[in-house]
Amino acid sequence: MLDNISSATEARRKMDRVIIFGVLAIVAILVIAALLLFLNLPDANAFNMRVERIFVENDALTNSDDIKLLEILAQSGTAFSATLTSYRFVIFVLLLFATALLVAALAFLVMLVALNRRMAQVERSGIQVSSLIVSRDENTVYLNNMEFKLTPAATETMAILAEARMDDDVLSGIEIESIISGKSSVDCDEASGATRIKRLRDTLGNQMVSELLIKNISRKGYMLAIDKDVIQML
Amino acid sequence: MMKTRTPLSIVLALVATVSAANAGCYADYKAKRDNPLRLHYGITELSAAACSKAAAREKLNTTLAADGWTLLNVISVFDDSKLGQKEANAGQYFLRY
Repeated sequence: MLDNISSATEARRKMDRVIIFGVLAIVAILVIAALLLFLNLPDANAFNMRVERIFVENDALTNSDDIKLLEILAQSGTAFSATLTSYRFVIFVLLLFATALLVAALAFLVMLVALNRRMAQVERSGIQVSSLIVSRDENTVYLNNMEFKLTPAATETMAILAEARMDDDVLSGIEIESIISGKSSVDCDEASGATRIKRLRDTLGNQMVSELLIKNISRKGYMLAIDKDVIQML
Repeated sequence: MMKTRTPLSIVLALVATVSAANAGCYADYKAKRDNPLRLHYGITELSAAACSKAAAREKLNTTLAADGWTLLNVISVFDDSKLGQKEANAGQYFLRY
């Protein structure tokens, strides 16, 4: 399991290298393909030269009708070579498209791998809070759209902690007690604040565990809400 | 005997030169023009003094080039006796260049 440890920056550098080399390889391969294609396509004059050679090599080809036919042959060849140049352009455009698609495919592939890795990290780190809504009127806290009912005192503690977090503040037990009870901090002691935190932890923790781990199926009973494949008994 | 023999040889020689002049000298050739490709078969007349393929090539290179044609090759050099059968093939290029 120790092998799984890897630093995120190292992985990103590796990814960058993969992308750069992959894109370069794709572009190089397609440029070579394009060059070979364009060099191997027959020259526009190839047909005329072939017809001319036939004319020169056959001494018997002196009849004016035969010569007319040879000329027509050369002209049809020239017409075909004109279409060949248009094909050449079409092939070039298709090669460009192929390059773009391959580069995009590579980028998506790398992105997918990175995303998978991050997903695995998220799964390992347990609950990830993406939203927290505190409703004071209903004494309710919504965590990732999961609803938790709290006591009014616990809701108050939760709201104070949330506000302090938004201001990047850290609250001591005395401060918590003084804010909630309205007394000055001289009259408050650390223990009562700690008790409030403990109560909040208990109620919220209980409900969260019951929501995430121990499911209650009404009128049937209780069940662990996890995949049975991940359970191991030592 | 000697008297009669000499004039006879002279006469023979004269006849030979006259017949050579009458025989004529012609060459048939192939030529082309580019863009679009045009081909033609033609016959040209050569002087008796320069009656060879090389001479024909030299003459045709200049005369054809004046009209934008390129000489491809000279097929043969011949005399009057074969002129008739080749005339039809040469068509408008018969003795033109």
